[in-house]
Amino acid sequence: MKVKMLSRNPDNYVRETKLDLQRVPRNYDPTLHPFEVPREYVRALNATKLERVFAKPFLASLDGHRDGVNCLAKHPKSLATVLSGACDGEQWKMDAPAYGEEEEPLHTILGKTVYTGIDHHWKEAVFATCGQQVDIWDEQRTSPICSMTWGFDSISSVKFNPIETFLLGSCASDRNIVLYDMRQSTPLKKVILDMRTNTICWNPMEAFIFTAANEDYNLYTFDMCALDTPVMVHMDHVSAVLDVDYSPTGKEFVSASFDKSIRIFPVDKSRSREVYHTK
Amino acid sequence: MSANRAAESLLALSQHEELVDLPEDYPLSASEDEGDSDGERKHQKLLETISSLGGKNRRKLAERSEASLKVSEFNVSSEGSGEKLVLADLLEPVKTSSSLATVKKQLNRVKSKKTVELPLNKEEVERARTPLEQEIFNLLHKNKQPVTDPLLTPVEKASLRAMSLEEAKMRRAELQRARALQSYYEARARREKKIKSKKYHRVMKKAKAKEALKEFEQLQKINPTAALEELEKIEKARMLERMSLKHQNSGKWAKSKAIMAKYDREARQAMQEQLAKNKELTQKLQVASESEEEEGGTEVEELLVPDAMHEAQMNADGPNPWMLRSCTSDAQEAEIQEDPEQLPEPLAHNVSESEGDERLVAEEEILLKEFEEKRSLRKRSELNQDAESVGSQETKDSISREVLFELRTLSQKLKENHQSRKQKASSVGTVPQVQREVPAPEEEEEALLLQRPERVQTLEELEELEKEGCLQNKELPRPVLEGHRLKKNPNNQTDSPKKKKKEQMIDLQNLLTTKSPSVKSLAVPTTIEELEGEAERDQKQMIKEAFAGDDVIRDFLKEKREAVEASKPQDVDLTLPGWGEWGGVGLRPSAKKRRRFLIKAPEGPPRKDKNLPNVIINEKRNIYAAAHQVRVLPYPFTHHRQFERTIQTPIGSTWNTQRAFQKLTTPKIVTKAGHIIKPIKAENVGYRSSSRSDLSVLQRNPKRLSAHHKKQLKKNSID
Repeated sequence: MKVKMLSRNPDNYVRETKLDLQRVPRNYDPTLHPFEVPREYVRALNATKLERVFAKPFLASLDGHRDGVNCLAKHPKSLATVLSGACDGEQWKMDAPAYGEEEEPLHTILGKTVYTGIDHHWKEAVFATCGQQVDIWDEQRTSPICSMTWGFDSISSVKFNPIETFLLGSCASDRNIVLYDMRQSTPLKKVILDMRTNTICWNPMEAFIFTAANEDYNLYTFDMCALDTPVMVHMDHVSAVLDVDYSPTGKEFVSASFDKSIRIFPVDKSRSREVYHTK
Repeated sequence: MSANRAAESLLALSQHEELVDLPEDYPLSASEDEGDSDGERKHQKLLETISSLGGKNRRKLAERSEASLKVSEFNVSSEGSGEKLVLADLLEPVKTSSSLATVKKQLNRVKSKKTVELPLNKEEVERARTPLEQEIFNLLHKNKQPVTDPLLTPVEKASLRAMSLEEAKMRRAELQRARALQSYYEARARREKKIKSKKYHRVMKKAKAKEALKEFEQLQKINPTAALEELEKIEKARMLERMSLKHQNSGKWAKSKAIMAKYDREARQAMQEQLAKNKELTQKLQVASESEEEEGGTEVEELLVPDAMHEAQMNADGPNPWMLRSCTSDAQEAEIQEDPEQLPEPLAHNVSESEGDERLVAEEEILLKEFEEKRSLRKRSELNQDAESVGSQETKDSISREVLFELRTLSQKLKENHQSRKQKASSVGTVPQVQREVPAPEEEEEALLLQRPERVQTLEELEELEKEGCLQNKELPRPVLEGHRLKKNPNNQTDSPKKKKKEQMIDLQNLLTTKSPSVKSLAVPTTIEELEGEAERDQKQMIKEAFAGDDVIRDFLKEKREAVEASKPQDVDLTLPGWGEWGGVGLRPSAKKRRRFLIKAPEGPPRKDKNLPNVIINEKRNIYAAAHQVRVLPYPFTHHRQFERTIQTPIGSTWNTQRAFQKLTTPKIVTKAGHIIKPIKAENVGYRSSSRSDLSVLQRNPKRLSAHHKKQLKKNSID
C-alpha cells in the first residue's frame, strides 16, 4: 500500500544559526503585490513624517557665561573640546566631563590696531588675524610675518583652507571677498557682491569650494576657480546670515542667521533641509 | 587745611588749563567783551573744579571701545590716543574730609543709642476719673477681667496654672486638629457650593432622596413617634402641593417648554419629570404601615385623573409599554412583567413622532376614553374596599388582572388598526411607529392574532384580506380609513413597477446580486415563540423601510458611468457656423459639416476596472507623486522605456528580498558616531600636492600620476 506523506526538507524552512532571522516563505509574484507605486509613496511619506516626529535635535545647553557669547571655536581633533568667548572678556573651555574658565594666557601680543577676526593654519604653527589688514603671524614672534591688504577698508573675518592650506579667504566691509596665497604673501582674487559678507567657510571635502554668508539673507557657494558666478545660491533665511560652518562630510553646512534660526543646507540644493530655533 | 591746599593747587592748575583750552572751546569773541567774558569764564571753571572735588556729579568717562575719537561704521581708524585727560578724574584717590564730619558722627551715635522708656505709674492708669470709668472698673474687677491689656488675663493665668505641660500640649494639639478639620470642612463646603453642573445636582438629589428614605425606614423601626412626625411632614408637603399646584406644568416655564416639547426630547422629559414630581408629592398615604412599605417599594399606588395639560405629555419612556419602540421592546416587556400593578397611563398623542400620526391620534382618543371609563369604575370599587393588606393585595391582583385584560384588549384594537393600515400602506409610506410592538404577555393573545402561512405579496391579496374582515373595529371612522387607502394606493402603484424595473435591471446585469427585500411583507409580530427574533427582525425591517429610497447599487453604477465618461478623452468639435451656409442664432451647421470637422478622440487604453463591476479605479495622475518624479530623461538613457524599466522595480521589502532591499537602500554616506572625519587630503584622491611655490593653484593635472606620486600615496595609506 502506498501512503502519501508530506515530506519537507528542513533546510528550506529552518534557519541555519540562532543568530539568523527566521525564514519567512514569501512569494514575490508581482500580481500578489499590486499597487506598488502608491504603496511605496505612502510608506516613504510615513517614514519621513515619523522621522520628523521622533527627531530630537537639541542635545544640551552649555551654561556658565554671564554675558553674551560672542565667539566659538572647535578643536579639530577632539570632539569634546569647545572654546567660547563672551562679551565681558571671559573665556571658557568646555571639555567633557568638566568645564571651567581658562586661567591665564600663555602669551600676550599687543597690537596697534583692533583685531576683528582670527584663524589658525590647519597644519603649521601659523595663524592669521584681520582688522585693518590681514596679518600672518608665527606663534613665537610678536610681530606678523607678513601683512596683506587689497583696498582700504576693514576686514571682518578670515579663514584658512583646510585642504590647500596655504590659501585663505577674507571678508571685507566693502562687500568683497578676497582670497590670499600665503606662500606668495599676496592677495589672489577678489569678488564683489551686492551686500557685505559676514563670514566664509571652506568645504573640507572640496578643495576650492567655499560658502559665504551674506547680509542679503542668502548664502553663496563659490568655486575659487570661477568666481564670476556662484555654484549655488542658498535662499531660505529671512534675515542677515551671520555665520556658516561645514559638516566634516562636506555634504552639508549649517548657517546661523540674525532671524534667530539655524538652518542646515545641502551643498547641492538651494533650499534648507532643516531649521532649528529656540524660544 | 588739606582741603584748602588742594583747592589752591587746583586753582593754579585750572588757570593754567584755561589758557590752553580757550582757543578751542570758545568761539572767537569781540575784543570789547574779552575782558568781561574772561573773568566769567575763569569763575565758571573755578566752580566746576571745586564741585568736582566733592566726589559726586563727576563727569562720566567716555568708554574706550575703539580707542579713537572718530568712530565710523566703515573703517577702523588707527589713530589711537589723542584724547585729553580730565584732571578731576585723577584726583579721586585724594579724599578730603568735610567740616561737617564731626556733626555727622554725633548724629549716627545718637541714632544708634536706644531711648530709655520710663515705666508709667500703675496708679495713674487705674485711677477712675469719672463715674463711668468707676463703674467699668468695678465690673472688670468683679469678673476678674484685666483693666489694662496684659499678655495673660487672670483667667488664662489660672487655667495655665491648672494644666501641666503635657496636658497643655495635648489640649493644644486637640485644638489644632479641630481647627484643621474645621478649615477642611469649610474649604469643602465652599467648593461644593460653587458647583453648578446640573448632572451633579441631579445625582446628589437622587442620592439624598435614597438616604432620606433609608433613614425614615430605620426611624420607623427605632422610634415610631419620630416616624409619625416625619409622616406629618410629608402630609404637609402634600397639602402644599395640592394647594399651590406648583408642579402642574401651568407656569411660564412649562408653557415655553410645551412649545419646544414637540421637537425636543429633553424638553419633553423635563415636563414629564415635573409632572412625576407632582404625582409623587400628591400621592395619598395609606393609613396602615404596610401600605407605607408598599409605598416605599412601588412608586405609584393610585393615579389621579390627568388634567388637560397632561395631554401634552410625551412619553418616550414611562409606563406605556405598548407605545414604546420595537428596539426597547424587550426591556419594556420585562419591566411590565415585573410590575404588573403599574397602571399604564392613557395613551398620549405622539404628535412629535410624525405628522402622519394625526390619523392615529383620532383613533387613539376613542380608545383612551374607553379606558378611562373603565378605570374610573375600578377606582370607585377600590375606594370602597378596605385598605388592609390582604384586601389590598387582592385588589392589586384584581387590578392587575383587570389591567392586563384591558391592556390586551387595547393592544388588540391597536394591532388591528395597525394591521389594517399596514395592509393599505406600502413600505414606502410613513412608518407607523406607534403600536408596532405590543407586549404580548399572555398566551391568550395567540388566538386573537392574525397568522397566515403565506405572505401578502400583491395588492390584490391585500384587498382580499381586508374583505375577510379580520376583526375590524367598527368604531373606527371608516371614511378616514378609506381616505388613507386612496392615498396610499397611488403611491403603492407607482412604487411597485419601479421596484420591478429595478429588479429587472439588476437581473440583466447579472453581476450584482441583491437579496431583494420583500418590501411588502407585513410587520406584524407573529407568534410568541419568536419573541427574541421579533425585535431584531423589526429593527431590520425598520431600517429597510427607512432606507428604502436609497438604492446603493444603482447609485454606484451611476457614479461609475460618470467616472468613465469623465475620463474618456473628449472629441474636438471645430465646426464654425457660416462658411458656405447660413449661420445665425438658432441655426446649427449641417450634419455633413459637423461630421467633417469633428475630430474624434482615439480611444485610450482599456480601463483597469473594466472587468470589475463593483470597483472604480481612479486612473488620474497624482500630482504629489509626480512632483517627485523625473521630468527630463536622465543622461545615460536614450529612450524613456529604458528608464522606466529601471525605475519600475519597487524598492520596498514587500517586493524584494531582505538583502536586495538593504543593498538598494544603502545611504550614500555612512558615518560612525564619534569618529572624527578629517578634511580630505590631495594625495588620497590622486592629486599631486605641489610643494613648489611658483606653481599656482590652477596648474594641476589630476589625471596623470607619476611613479613618485604613487609611491607617496602608498606611504600615506600605510601611515
